[in-house]
Amino acid sequence: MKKIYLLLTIGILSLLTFTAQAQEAEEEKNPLVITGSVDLYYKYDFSGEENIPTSFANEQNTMAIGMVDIGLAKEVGRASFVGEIAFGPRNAASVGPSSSVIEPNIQNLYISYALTDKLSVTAGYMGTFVGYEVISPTGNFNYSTSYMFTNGPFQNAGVKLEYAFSDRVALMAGLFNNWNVYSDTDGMSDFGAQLYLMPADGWDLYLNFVSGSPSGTEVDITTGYQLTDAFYLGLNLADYSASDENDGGFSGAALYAQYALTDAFSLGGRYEYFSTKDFEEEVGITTEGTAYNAFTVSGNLKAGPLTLIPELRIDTSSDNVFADGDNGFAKTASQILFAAVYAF
Amino acid sequence: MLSDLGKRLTMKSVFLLFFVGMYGSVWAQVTAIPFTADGKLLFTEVVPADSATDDLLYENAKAYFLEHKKKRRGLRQEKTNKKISRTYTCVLYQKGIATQKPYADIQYKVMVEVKDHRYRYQFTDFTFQPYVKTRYGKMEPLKRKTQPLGKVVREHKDWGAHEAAFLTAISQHIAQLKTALTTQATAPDSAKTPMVQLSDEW
Repeated sequence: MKKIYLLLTIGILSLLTFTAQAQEAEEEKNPLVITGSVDLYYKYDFSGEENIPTSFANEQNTMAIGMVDIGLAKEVGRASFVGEIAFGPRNAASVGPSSSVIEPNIQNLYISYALTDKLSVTAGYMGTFVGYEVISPTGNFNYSTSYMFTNGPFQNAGVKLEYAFSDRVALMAGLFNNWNVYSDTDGMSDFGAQLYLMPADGWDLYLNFVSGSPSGTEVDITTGYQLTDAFYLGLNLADYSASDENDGGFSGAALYAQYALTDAFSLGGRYEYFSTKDFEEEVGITTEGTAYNAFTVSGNLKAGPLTLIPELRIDTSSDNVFADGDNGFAKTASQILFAAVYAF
Repeated sequence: MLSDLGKRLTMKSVFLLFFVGMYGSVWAQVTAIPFTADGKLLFTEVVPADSATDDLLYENAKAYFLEHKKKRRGLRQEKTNKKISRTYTCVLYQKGIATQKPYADIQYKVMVEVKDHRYRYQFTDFTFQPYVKTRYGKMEPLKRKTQPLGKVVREHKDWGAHEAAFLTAISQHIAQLKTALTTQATAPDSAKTPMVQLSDEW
């Protein structure tokens, strides 16, 4: 009798396991995806001060934190959503200087619906479609960021239509709020568009345009080519003009090269030329723009979900805009940085 | 005494059958990745189907390939050679504690050839597209990082954790294909169905 109960128990457990497996198989078709990252870094600028004015990795000679980033995504049938929330200094710096480093902010919150196999509509608050680099440290090879990234949009909230002509050609167009805001009192006054092309296998090309008032107009080309399994080349070109021509703007070009020396270690360089346009500081007084050349060499050492990034960066400028470490100004700045990024 | 033993044996047999039913595979699991001499992945088999005509097998294969309209892309037909193929995609997932996220898209070609009351299937041209998180917070396959799956199997250290799931997915696909061809092949032949004739004389 005991044996029967034992067998019966095992049988029921087996049935439950089988049912659970069936549910798992069903769930596997449309899983709720949870992704995210945490990052931290140590940076030392040889001037002894916070110096290079690009986004995020600013704190000097201290163990510094980036952000905790948590994203949820799900797709069922034709409908999908993404919700991504982040905490920490990197998050705060991505949504404006007055943001608290403790308060969470939305990085992405949008819903998409595929009207047909080729046409989809998306509405919400989305990471910008402009530019090469992104806010999440998991999306960039270098830990420090470029001047073009720092001065371009971070998020574009709005509604957009995307049409895929084929796997190699797609067009997006939409109406957006002003840059980086959840809500906009003057309405969705920006127009944005992106043409995606894949001229060859491994080569992605994005032509981006966003324009509105008071945001201004930015034209951007972002492209990347996986030349071999190990060697990748990327390029970003951008030109931005403020909506009032007296407020200036910027132009820039950045070349990215990355080479995988082993499965676990890659070495990459970024060279950026960036120049601000002349602008009228006060009525009748025009300030000339400043040009920058920035050289960054980074390693990416991967250990499963963890990436360690040692980095050396040297920036030069046409003007004395950097700190020289002696209460004065200099045309050159240099820093070393070690970052750890854990992605899940 | 003997009757008790008989009852116990009967109960045991019932449970034994239950377990066999639970754990016995309804589809044959492929246990290792088969490679060709030139290092490519190839799953293939010649399956006899004596009860079916070649035309019916071909039509069954075509009907199977045309299922799921959304994924119709990549359908190729050679009617004279009774050869048909289509591209499929399966997603491998990275399982976490509470959930899972996509790891890679595996694309592959499935080809069916029909000849002399048998058919041959081939699962070939496997490619691997890893998923990355986009600037929009979404996991999407990175097209520019597409590689032949054979290279990934041989060289990627983290592939081992996904091999079993891959083999299960392919085994299930093979079983599904075979069932689709066999089930429909043994269905009543249209030639044997009584034909209704409409006549003006009634």
